[in-house]
Amino acid sequence: MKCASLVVPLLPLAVLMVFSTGCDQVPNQIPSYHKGYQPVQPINYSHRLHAGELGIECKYCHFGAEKGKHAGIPPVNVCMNCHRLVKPNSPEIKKIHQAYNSGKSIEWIRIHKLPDFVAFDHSRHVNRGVASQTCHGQIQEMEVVKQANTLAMGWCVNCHRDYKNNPPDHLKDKKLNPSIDCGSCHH
Amino acid sequence: MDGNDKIHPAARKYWQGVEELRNDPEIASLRDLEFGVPPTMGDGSEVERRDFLKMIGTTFAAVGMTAGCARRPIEKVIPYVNKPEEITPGVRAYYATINSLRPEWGGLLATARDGRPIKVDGNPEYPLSGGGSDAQCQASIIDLYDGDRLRAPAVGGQTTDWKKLDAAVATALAAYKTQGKKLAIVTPTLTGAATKAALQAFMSSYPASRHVSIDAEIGTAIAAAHGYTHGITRVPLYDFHKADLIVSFDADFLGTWIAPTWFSRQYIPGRRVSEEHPTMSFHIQAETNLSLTGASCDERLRILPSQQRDLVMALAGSVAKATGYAGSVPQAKTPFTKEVAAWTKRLMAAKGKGIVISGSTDVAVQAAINLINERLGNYGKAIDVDRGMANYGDGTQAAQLLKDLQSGAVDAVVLWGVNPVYASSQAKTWKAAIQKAKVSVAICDRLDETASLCNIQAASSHYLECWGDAEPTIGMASIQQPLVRPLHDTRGPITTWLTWAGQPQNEREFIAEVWKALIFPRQETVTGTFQKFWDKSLHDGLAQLTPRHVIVGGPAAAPTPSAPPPVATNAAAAAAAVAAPAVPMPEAATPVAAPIKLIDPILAEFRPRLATDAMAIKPAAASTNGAFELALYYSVAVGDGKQANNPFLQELPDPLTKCTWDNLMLISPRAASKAKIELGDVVEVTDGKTTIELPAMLQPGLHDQAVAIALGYGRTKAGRVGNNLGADAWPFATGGVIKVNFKKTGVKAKLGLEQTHPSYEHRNIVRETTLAEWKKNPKAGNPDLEANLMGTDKDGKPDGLPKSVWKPHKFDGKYRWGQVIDLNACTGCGACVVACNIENNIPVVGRSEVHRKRDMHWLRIDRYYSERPEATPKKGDYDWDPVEDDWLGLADNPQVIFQPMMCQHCENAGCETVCPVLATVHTPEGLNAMAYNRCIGTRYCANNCAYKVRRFNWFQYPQGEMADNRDYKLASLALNPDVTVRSRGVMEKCSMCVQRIQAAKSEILRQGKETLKDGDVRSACEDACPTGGIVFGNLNDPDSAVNKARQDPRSYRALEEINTRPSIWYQTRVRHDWDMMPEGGNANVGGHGGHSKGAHGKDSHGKDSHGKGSHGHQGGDAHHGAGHGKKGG
Repeated sequence: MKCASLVVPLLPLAVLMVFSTGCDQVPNQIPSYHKGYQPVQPINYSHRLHAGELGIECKYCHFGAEKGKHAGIPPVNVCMNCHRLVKPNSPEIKKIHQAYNSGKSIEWIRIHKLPDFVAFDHSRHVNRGVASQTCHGQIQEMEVVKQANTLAMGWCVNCHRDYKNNPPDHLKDKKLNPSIDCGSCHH
Repeated sequence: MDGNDKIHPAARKYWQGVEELRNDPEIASLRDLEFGVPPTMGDGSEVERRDFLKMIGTTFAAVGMTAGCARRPIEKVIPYVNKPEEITPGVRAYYATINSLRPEWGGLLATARDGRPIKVDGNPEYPLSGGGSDAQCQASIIDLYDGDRLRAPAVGGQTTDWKKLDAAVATALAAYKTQGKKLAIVTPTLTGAATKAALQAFMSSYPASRHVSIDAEIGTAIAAAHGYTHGITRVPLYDFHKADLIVSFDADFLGTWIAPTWFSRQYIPGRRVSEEHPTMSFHIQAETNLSLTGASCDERLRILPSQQRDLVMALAGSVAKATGYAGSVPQAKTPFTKEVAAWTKRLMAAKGKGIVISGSTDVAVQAAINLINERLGNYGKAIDVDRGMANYGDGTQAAQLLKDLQSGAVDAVVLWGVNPVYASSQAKTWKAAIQKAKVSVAICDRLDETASLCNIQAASSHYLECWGDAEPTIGMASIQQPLVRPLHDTRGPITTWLTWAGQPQNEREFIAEVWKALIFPRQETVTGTFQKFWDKSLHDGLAQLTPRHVIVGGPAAAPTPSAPPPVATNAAAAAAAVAAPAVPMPEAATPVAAPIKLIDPILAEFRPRLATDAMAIKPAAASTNGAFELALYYSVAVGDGKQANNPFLQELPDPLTKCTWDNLMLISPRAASKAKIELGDVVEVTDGKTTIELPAMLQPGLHDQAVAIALGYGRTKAGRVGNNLGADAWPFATGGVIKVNFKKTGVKAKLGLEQTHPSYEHRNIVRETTLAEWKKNPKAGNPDLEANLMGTDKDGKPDGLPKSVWKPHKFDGKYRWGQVIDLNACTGCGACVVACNIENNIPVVGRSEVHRKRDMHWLRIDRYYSERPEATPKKGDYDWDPVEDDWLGLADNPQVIFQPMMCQHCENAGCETVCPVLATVHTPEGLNAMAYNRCIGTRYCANNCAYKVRRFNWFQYPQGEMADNRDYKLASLALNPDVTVRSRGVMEKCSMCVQRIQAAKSEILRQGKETLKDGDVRSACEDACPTGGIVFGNLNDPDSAVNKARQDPRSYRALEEINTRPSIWYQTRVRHDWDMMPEGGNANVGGHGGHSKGAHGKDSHGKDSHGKGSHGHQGGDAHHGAGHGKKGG
């Protein structure tokens, strides 16, 4: 009897665990690591065109990246800086005009998200010269953005640890000491 | 008998409360249980084993479900359409502001993140507060997100819109524009020029209206006394820093009296010792109940409320005689003749370098105090009546208004920012008067006791939601700058007044206009346009005006609403008051375009004849119906109850009683022993008319023939948090001496007394010495107990590293964080505790959880009592085993010492060793890190913590589980986005504000700097501390203030003998030498010898030590950052 009281409540757990593996929409990934996540966005915006072909600096739109924790999604007025004049009649650009004129912003689907118990600071990395591509992948080649890396702790820590032995070329001279303290990100 | 003897050869005993002094079995049991009580279910019942397994089962099932379906819900990111220039997501912005209704807080610096206010601190550039704040100021951010605020205007109990409300007000007041019937406006004393002008604009459309200000009764009494003695009804500006000798009669100036933050900041530099400043001011406190101020004093005399008047009069007479005063002073008989003689001697030795104050609301007492200060030449030095605080009402107008309301001579009343139906000794009369009025309008933030009686409620915005201004002391003007649009359908009072005046105008533009007319001409710091001055004032949060007064010229000047009427109650005095040269006051007047004349001030002069008249004013009638005198006091946490609905204040322990969520009837241990009353016995207190029930508590230091009750509790209409906590003691208040009786009801109450939650098992964790000892040897009282704890290498030679079973930490990086806390600088006020709570998203657990000893404060202030020199048994005699009532002598009038206690970030941390999952580990920067997401809640760490500073989330507190029923969705807006919100089952503790360290590292990188210096990062407690007693910084930086402070001979680490090697240092408390104190037995009765060495008067404080004294405030500039800027309308 004593054993039964322990086992019975645990049964649903076992059942659920069997089901749970099939639930993930991202194939071949450990659950909750969203590498490869590529949702359809409300506007068919192309990073390949803007960042790749036209060579617009990442920080032109994601200006928060060097100022604070969040890189940010550009406010509509930033789009309008160019698109007031550039291709105003394209059906996709019209969505921007509509948002700007109506005051109802565009609802982008969030791709990169760290859990709430992780504190990541964009400015710390950007101002040290870490390229956007280090974490976000070859974004300048993506027609539709997808999550290029797991963004899991092990992935972060590997980079921080490897720096000493194997620093990326553009950071070689900086002699950084990337932290692997728990408290740096978890507080 | 224990390790203490080694540390303190004198074997001074420190006790956490009477319970420990008596060695109660309950206290002994604390040593066995880390959390005091075993785990309980939500309803308080104990957890059975079977229930436990069931719970485990469901928990696992829940985990399975959430972990299983891994596709997270689709989350949207919605950017601004047009991004405001000053908001960058994730970047903090700082705005200088002020609360126009709480000018005593001084200038404030409010933090907004993503456009949302999340923190309020003192403005470091504000000279009087120096960036310090008090608990109520810190907690005021929570009031913004209070779910019980009025969310829309209401007329006749029905929610309505502003258009309809304005129309209703216009209709209701239409008759008062012409008729002889009078309208009264009741507010607290208003200090801002624009605020006054807005009110004036309203009043000018109602010619028969009058403005009455009601304030805390102490301010009224001081102002009224100065009306007699100096011809101006004003509370002067005190500067305790200039005082070598402080004599306070029941004035709790560090806790609740007038402006405690400023006074703490001024007082403490004179109490800190260093090589450059080897002297201390001497502080005498005569009081009934042990107050926060009494806890810091050197000589403490216990007096009854009824004895204060005679004692002060006797001292006035004695000082008058000693200084050859020609005027007359009333004769007074006091049992304290020896004290009077000794204090007179001391005061005479410190002429011009003293300060004498009183907390009495008796105008005669205050007038006698003025006489003493005048004769000793303290005016113009430590007391400045010319550059004083606002011109208060003197109480006569309020009394007259009450009469007129009762008689019907005034039958319309508009109230703003006052709650006399609760917070007044005349509460009942006010209630009847307001109910009788035909028109009653309240500009209020909630339906409090007063507003709920009114016909019309104009919902008022929080001070962070609307514009306003204030001039806390004359010549120091500040703008109240909003950080956010009103969260609800509320309106700023200035808009409300202007709309009702029929001159609707944008608040900010109106203030700018008034400032251009009335403030700009009074300043000489900015040359150039008004716009330049305005921008600077808005940015700095302060405009320092030259000490010249403004008169608004021309016949257009409207009658000044708060112009003081003749102050005197007798004709002779009134006549003289008129004849005396009145000091022109910078009263605001409406006609903004009127020409302005500047004149130099006529200094207020002492008027002996009127002082004599004032001292002859009879005290309010004493009630005689009882055996005990009642001392009413404000608790430092909840104050007058204005913020009673603020859970952070309710859960902040009172500094002395350490009680949360309740007020108590305090009784001295001796009286309790006689009346057979124990801690928690519910007693019925009655003065014959009013009877209330309260739990009793034994309060050492309280007079044996008095009981004490805190005001500010027992509110009925504060809101869901603050209603019906404790009992309302206002009905006892009469203005005179109150006598009460009490009897036991037989009921036992549970109390949330946080001091006795942990136990240090009598280990002496505080250290102290005397001034003379310290002068002989700066390490006095501070033996090095770590010296023999250093390790050796394999040859047995010292290797310079501490002994440890683990590989010692090297801390050879750039940073090692640490703090030094000067026990001489801690007044115990609790500002740091609330600041820490708000900065770190520490949940309020609620009353019942505190009863289970589950308070979550990361930083607490421990209060210890120890015996006074005159106590019996003598020092060293007492051995924790009470024989009969032996211990009572120790508890008669103990000394008090406060110690802020938080995670000590030990090098050899007990917690890190026992964590099975490495959730708590040491970082190379010396922090004891806590990874919440790793914690599985074994609580081993808390068990193994020597300092009892780890806190466990027994429930989902941030979502309101177990706690009060406030609006948690709204309250969660106050959360700091940079700190993880912890969930159930997780351990937490002080992180030394690691989020601030990390943010500062990013910040200097943006500025192109490599290394953090002093001032780049400050902990929340350091920011809040009004006295600069906490210094935080980098121990690896040889030039840092913290590094210098820890090498001071006074520095020690708590429990260093157990080799935990904390990163927090404390500095030994230095007290005055015991032979400076009066000798003899119980200080309760007269007839014991008091002698003065008179040596103290010779000491003079270095003038320049004012700024240097507190290292804490040096980093102000850097702290401001780039974001601290002006904000457009």
